[in-house]
Amino acid sequence: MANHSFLLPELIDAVFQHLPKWDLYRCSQVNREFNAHAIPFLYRVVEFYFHAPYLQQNAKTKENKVWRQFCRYPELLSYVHEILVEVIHNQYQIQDNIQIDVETTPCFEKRVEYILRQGRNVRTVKMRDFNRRVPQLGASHHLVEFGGHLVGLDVRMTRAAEHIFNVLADLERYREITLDLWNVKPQHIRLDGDQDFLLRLQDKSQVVNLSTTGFDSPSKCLLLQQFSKLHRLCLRDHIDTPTSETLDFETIFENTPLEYLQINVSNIESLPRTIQELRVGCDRVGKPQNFDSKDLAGSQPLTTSKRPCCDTRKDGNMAPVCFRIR
Amino acid sequence: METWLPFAFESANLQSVTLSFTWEPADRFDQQILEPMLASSKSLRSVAISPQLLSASTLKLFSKSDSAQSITVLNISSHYTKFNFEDLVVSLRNLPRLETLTLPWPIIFSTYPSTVQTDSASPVPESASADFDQPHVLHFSHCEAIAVSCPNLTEIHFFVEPDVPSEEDDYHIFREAEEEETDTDEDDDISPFDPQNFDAENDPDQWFRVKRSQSFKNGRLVSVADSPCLHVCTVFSDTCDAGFDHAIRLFVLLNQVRKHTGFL
Repeated sequence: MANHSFLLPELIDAVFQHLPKWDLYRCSQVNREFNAHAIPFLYRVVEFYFHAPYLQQNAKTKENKVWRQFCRYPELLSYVHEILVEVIHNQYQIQDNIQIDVETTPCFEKRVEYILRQGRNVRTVKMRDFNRRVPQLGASHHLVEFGGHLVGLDVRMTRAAEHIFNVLADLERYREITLDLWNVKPQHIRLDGDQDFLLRLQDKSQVVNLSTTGFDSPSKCLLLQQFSKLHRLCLRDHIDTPTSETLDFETIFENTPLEYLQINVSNIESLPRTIQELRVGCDRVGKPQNFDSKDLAGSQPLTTSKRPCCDTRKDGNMAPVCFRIR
Repeated sequence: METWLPFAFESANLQSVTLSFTWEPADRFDQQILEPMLASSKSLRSVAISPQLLSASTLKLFSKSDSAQSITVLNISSHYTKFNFEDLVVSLRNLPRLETLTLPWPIIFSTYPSTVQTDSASPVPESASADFDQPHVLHFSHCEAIAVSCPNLTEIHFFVEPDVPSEEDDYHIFREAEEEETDTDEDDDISPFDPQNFDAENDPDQWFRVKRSQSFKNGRLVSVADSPCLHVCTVFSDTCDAGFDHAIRLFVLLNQVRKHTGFL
């Protein structure tokens, strides 16, 4: 294998795209040909974590190694397609009082800006705080030092997102972007929600794919009109429509080339006429849908769920569906 | 009672739709949501629906809709069913381009919760047995008819039981007494399922499971009496998924059915 070229090199990419990073790393050491095919996949996603101390050292070490590679071989930046930023809370220390950690990634802003500017193929930004809704894992338990102040991980995440938005707005060339946001907003600062936070993005026409939490009412959905180039939209929160309001998606997206729409609703007036792929769910009020990163990539097979018992359905928290005629 | 009006759906470009309405009454799901979508769509390719109850009327919508003729993928999952294989055969006659089909196995449930009761004149019927669910039995004639109606369809995936808790016996479902079952006209031509008729101690685990699952399939789900072909045209699968629950499925291999048509 080491001395002969692979007969079907196109198959290598087809296989490598499904491999985890550790396997890709090992494949990169097989021979020069495998190395050439594995490297682009190894650097396809650059990960940053704001996290609790028990993972800090390991993640920090990995991040520094990747950064050193970018500094030594700037051409690697052309392989970067996605920036992933996640908050990981320390669930094993939730009984403790407030914990103060040092800033986990003191160079985050500098590094992410460099990657966004030099990595011209970066198209996707994912920012996620999955544990925000778990009460005992409240972000206020974990503080980090940032800008000379102690802030919660939620605030740190918000600052990171604001910085990314600012860099995106300053990019020299227009770039179509996929935004995947999950609970990116500070808890203790009075904001209307994620949707208000999103509006700080100056050039909203950059965003062609959007997957986000926070849009849980018709009035908030109206704000999406500003994203005039949206092709795919996934709203993860249940949209609760009171009788006094209407959810008229046809009007909201009248001038938007929306092709894919994924919503969780109790009441809807109309849908965009341009829609080609539609996913509508009606779950309990306030329960976010458990969609993963494949949401924006395409359809997923319909999963079956356990037959619920009658008592569960008698729960007063159900969302009555009411589709109205215009 | 609130009047349900059809949903104003005018997106003729729709190609793929996924609808999951767990809490919705069945006839309302049909009339207000699914029917207008099928009526308006011109190039529908993929339909995945997840109503609380899959009824014969839901399947009937596909048989009378012109847009259904372009559908290539149809995935349906539901907690409860109220249809039989004859209803399915009739509906599939209008889906000639179908390539992928996933359905729940039709079962007469011993009890239906009040939330799936419809407001129509035909309420959900109670099963003959008040204690156990009863599956409908698949006959070779059903498979033949589907194979003819859907020439591009090679397999049908049935979910017999989506997820059986791992702590429970895989085959606790449909465990009504044999004598009750054989009294009915519909089920008297299928083999009995006798979970005790195996030497579990001497058989290797896997072989024991294979024999028991085949007996379960032939005794509860398919009729091998009118055509033994169904024994090889169907594959019973009892797998443990990532969530550690058992997923009991049955695959109907329609290419095998096509080969056997006219011989058995």
